[in-house]
Amino acid sequence: MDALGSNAKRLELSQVKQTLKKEQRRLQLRRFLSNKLMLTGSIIIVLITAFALVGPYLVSYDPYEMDPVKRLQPPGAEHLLGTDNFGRDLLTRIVYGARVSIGVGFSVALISAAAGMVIGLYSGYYRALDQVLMRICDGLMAIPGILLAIALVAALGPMTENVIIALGIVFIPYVARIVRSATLVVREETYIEAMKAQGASAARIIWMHIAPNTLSPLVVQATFIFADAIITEAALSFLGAGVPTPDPSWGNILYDGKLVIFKAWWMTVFPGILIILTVMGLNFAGDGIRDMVDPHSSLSFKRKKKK
Amino acid sequence: MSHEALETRKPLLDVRGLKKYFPVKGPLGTLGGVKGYVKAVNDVSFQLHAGETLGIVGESGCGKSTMGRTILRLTDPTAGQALYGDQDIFQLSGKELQKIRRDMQMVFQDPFSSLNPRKRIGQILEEPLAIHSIGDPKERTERVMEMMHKVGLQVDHYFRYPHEFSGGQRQRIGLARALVVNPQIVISDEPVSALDVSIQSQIINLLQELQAEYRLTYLFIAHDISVVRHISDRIGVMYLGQMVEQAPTESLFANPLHPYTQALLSAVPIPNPQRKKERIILRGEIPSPMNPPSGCIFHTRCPLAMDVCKQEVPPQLEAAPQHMVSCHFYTKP
Amino acid sequence: MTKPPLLEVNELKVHFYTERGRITAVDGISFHVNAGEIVGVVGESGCGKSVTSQAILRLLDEKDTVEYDGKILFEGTDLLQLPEAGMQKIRGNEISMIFQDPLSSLNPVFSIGSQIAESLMLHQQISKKAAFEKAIELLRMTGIPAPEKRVHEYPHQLSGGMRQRAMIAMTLACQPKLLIADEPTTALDVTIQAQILDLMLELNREQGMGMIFITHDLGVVAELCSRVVVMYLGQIVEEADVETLFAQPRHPYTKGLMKSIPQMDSDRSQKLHVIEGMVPTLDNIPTGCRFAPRCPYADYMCHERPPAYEEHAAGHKVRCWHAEKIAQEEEERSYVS
Repeated sequence: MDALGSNAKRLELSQVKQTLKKEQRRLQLRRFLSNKLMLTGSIIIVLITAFALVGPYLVSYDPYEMDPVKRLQPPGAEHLLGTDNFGRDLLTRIVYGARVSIGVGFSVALISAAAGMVIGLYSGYYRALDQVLMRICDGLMAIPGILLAIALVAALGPMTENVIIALGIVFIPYVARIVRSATLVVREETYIEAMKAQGASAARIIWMHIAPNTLSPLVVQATFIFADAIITEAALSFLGAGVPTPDPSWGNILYDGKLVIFKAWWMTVFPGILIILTVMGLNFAGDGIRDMVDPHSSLSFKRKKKK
Repeated sequence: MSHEALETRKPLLDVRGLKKYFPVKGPLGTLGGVKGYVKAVNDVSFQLHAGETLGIVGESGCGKSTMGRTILRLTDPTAGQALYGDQDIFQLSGKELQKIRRDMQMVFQDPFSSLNPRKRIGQILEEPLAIHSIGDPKERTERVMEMMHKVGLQVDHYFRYPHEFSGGQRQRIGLARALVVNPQIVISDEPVSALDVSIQSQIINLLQELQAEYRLTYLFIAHDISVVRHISDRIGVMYLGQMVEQAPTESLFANPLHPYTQALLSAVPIPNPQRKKERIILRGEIPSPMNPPSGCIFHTRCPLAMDVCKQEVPPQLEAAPQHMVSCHFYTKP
Repeated sequence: MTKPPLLEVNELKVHFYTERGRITAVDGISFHVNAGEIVGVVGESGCGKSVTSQAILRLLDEKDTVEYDGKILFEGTDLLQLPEAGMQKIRGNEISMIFQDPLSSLNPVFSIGSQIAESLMLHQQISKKAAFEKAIELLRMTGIPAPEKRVHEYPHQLSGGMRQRAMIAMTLACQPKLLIADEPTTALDVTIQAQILDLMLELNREQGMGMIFITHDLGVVAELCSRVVVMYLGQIVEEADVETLFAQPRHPYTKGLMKSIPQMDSDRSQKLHVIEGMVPTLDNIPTGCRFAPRCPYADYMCHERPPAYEEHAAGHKVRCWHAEKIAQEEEERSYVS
């Protein structure tokens, strides 16, 4: 091949690449838009994230500023969602709490997904390692998640970071299990054998050929963990072992509200609604991702026979 | 290629006494100890000469695929030697094994599971070059483009994903992946059996064109006897882990010696309704490779079985030039 | 012909609703099967041969996404008009089917004997004991050794060939008038395939059962069938008795198929004949003749107008503009050789 020819070919190649990428992106977008579940979930998540990021600049109160005179005021013009038992503005605390709760959820999902992926990939690939790692995971999964989290927080000390670490450890086995089972399936595929026949190293096979194929169940599981972590953090706070006061989180707002639930309904209802919304959005998105990446559950056109 | 030339020249690959036993574990797994062995490949020897095609035929479970995979060290052999140049493939490890793997490539049966669904065709084809660190990224792309052209793929296929292709095209991609590193030997395991009839002939012709162009040596494993006959210079017939007959194609079809080969050839349906032929219908089923019959492995189904067949393993003998057969019927004085 | 055929398929169309819109998998096919006759249906994947067989038994009904057109007359009654209850009486009793993969069509948790006995009891109202005895008899008929023992075994304990025999025994239980065999030997080894083909021929001769034998293997067709239907992309392109079809194919697709398979007595130094290109997908059917884009004979007319399906000689129907020309060529070729 002469230089001119190969240059022309390369030019052609980059053009082809661009048109194809565009085409594939359009196809992805169409699938995304036609997937109602995914769309709803994503909109909810985007709105709540925006609420957590932009919200603090819109509210006029300080989340820690107490005003004993205005304790437990119902929702009104001055305090849109009312005040809590220390006279702090509830809307402000929920907005700042969103940062903490979503931050905890996201970090936990990230930590457990990353660690779980490594553990899952290696125990799926190496049979000997599997025996050891999976028994440890079994052990961790045998203890109820919330007990384990309480024990870990108690050992590490009550700090937001420690709550994240504790919850991360709690959820690692769930990710590891799923990645491992995906790995077990993929490692038997012929294309992995083809790579072995080429002489590819184990690390190359694991990270470049198996890992991409475990990504979709991993992402789905991660969204569920995100949701689960928000709930578990709320439960921990509710039990007094979560994000320590006076930092607001949806969980400890609920905890404070529990004491005055008959006098001030707004303290439990508003953070509760937000938790439900977020978890729902994440679960929708998770289900949507699963539908989108799984060719078998592709959109089937249900149409009744004419006769 | 004349047979005298074959005999005097040093073979490219010389497989001697290859055995592959798979242990069968009891219900307790490794704890219960080994219950027995599945003798998938049992003492197989053959030579592969540069530029030729050796076809391996046999029915499912005869060990032909295991043999191909063992030679590539995808599973470790139980015993035997495979001499390539002056090295024994079965003794190599690490860097040396990697070097040899560049010379020996494989084409797989299933065109659907042999390509990673998450990778673009370009990535799939450049991967072997990256593994063997050949060239820089630009050179690799050029080499891949050249190979894609050779196997009949278009430029815009480079960025497509495997699911966008039909079975025949996927098999072309598989072929390109094997050939992109310039191998000497290509082991193809049922490369056309998953394809439609009209696509099958396209791939067979392509295999032959590429062999002529790159002077490739093929080990062609298949169960379709007429396909093997068409593409092979020599053919080995396997039954229950053993090579029962090995001969140049013409010799094997003109004069099949082993009773199993005779039955196998007669069982192939011929697309010509006017030629009604006598089929040799074999009795019974293939015995389990876990405890193969004593003596000659074929005696349980053999129409010619004699008393000696039940007791003694028949020796391999050269019944005609280059025509090896293992059967007591021909050892009689 | 005075007696009406056993099965007559008339302008059958099968449409599916899919993600890509309405797809016509079978587009207006007509053929018939006489009592006691074996008809081969040949074609590559996606030609609609399996869909046709499933349509005859209305096995596609459960999916809401199918729509039929045309007529399937079985002994004069249109199967497409029958209610589901009527269809259930036909299935197994009158028309039976065997599949490529016998393992997935046998229930893994019941012994083969009880599965055969069950279908006997269902259709013939006999006692359990009598049914079991009959099951042993049927297994013996299909050439299974030691049927008294095998009758208590489970599908996974049998080899592929044995399973296919058990499937055949099961279909024989009710002595159907028509047997549809969908690639029954594709998954089997040649020596086992030879055994099964022999068994099917024998049953056809003894029981006078009509058969539709669906396959992609022309060799099997040549050995087994008396009449052959060749399908391409949802249509029948050629139909003839087996001798005529193999001696004088008139459709370029049939001709190409026959030349492209390596044969046991062909010249090995010759390259294989190739049908260029690929089978188009069903959502992208060419205008004009469906085979035109791959056809060496195709001219302007072929690309523009679809040819009619016409009878060119007695019992020899072809869908091609150039059928006469190809017939002449074949004749000249046979003179030379």
